[in-house]
Amino acid sequence: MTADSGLTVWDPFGKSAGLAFPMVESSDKAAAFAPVTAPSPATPATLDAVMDRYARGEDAAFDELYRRGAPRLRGFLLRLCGDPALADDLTQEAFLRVHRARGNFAAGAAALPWMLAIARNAFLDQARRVKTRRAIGDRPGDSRATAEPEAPASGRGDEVLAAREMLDVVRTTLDSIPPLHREAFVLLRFEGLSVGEAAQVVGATEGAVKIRAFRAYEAIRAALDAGGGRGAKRP
Amino acid sequence: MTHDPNLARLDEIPDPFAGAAMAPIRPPDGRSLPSSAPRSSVHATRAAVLIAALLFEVAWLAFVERRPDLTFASAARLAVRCAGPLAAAAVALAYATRAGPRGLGVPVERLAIALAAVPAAFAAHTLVFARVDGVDHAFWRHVVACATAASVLAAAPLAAGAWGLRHAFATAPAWRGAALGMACGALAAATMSLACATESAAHVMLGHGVVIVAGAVAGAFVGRAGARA
Repeated sequence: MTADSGLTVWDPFGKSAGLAFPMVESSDKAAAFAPVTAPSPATPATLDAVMDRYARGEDAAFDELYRRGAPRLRGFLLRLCGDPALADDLTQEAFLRVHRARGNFAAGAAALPWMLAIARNAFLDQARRVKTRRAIGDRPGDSRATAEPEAPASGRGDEVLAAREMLDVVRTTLDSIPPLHREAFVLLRFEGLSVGEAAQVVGATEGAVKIRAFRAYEAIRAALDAGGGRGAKRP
Repeated sequence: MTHDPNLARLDEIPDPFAGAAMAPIRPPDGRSLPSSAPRSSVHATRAAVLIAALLFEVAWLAFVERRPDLTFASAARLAVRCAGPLAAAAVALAYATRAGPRGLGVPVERLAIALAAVPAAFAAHTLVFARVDGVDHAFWRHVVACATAASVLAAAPLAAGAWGLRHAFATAPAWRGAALGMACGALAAATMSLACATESAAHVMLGHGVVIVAGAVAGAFVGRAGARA
């Protein structure tokens, strides 16, 4: 997939998913249910090496760092905030922070968890600003352009509709659960981090991250069982 | 909750943003990036900050206040009094600044243990090596005077440290800032052991040691406000 900017964009939920989508046969089912081990061009070793070059002062590495890291950060931020335009802005803000903090990136460290932690800070600051604006009565209206859940592109009409409804339930539930639960779930389920890495990214204990992620799972599972996603697979 | 959650079940949940996450990425803004220091400059700055903080403590002893018996008291006794707080400062500083196994700093659990252990170790060291005296009429006046001096001795290194570590804490900035503040407080307590001749355990703990805890509280705010990446 190639962006209009000419950048090759990572396909985070690529064609490797072998899990069965219950309702619709399409390549997009694999995207929705892709395991967290899905391959990506931003392989850790490569991203780590580029970040290390940038931390050492090689300014020219920024473009490559952005090309490799921005899709990961944008996907993470999109899942946190649910708004593609806001995710774009936060991705830019996160990269500005990465640039400012580059000298603090430890030699030999993993770049992705470090960048995700910085992206999370950008998201939290934005959420705090919104909360403050609401607290002082500035309500500009819900301008949030939420991402349309990605329904499979092919399949029979009722199946497409059911799949769309199920993804909508997941999105709505993700949006309604506490941010601490949401970020833990997103990091473990969609970003492919280990529990230890996720705990460090959010600055909590491993036990707390496990519980938060599982609470999020339980909330989404309950919402799906309540009607929105009867077709979602169960073990 | 006592049971271990089965995280494998997370894979049951589909990703509602799978397609949107694959959307084209907007290129970086055209505006030029502000200057930022590479790793070598950051390391040099931190070394300079550490040296400046130590020089500030030495200058305090040289020009502001030092115990009258500093030149003729037993060197071993002075060293023992300094060693405890200095070791505590070194441990706290290491916990604040170490990159940790993943480059994200020391995990929060271990930071919390260190933040509890450092003041406890200082208190234990004081009880072992200081005299246990009664409280006289000037006790609180001396305590306040020493606590004020110790606060200044901790505040300057903390301010310098916050500047040297700006944008350094990608995660747990309050915890790591607290460890930095605790290190500055322990350094101040070490300096106070050379500035104040009172060796009563109660005086040392309250007049010299309270700044360790106060430094941690101040450091938590400083870390969150100034050192967060």
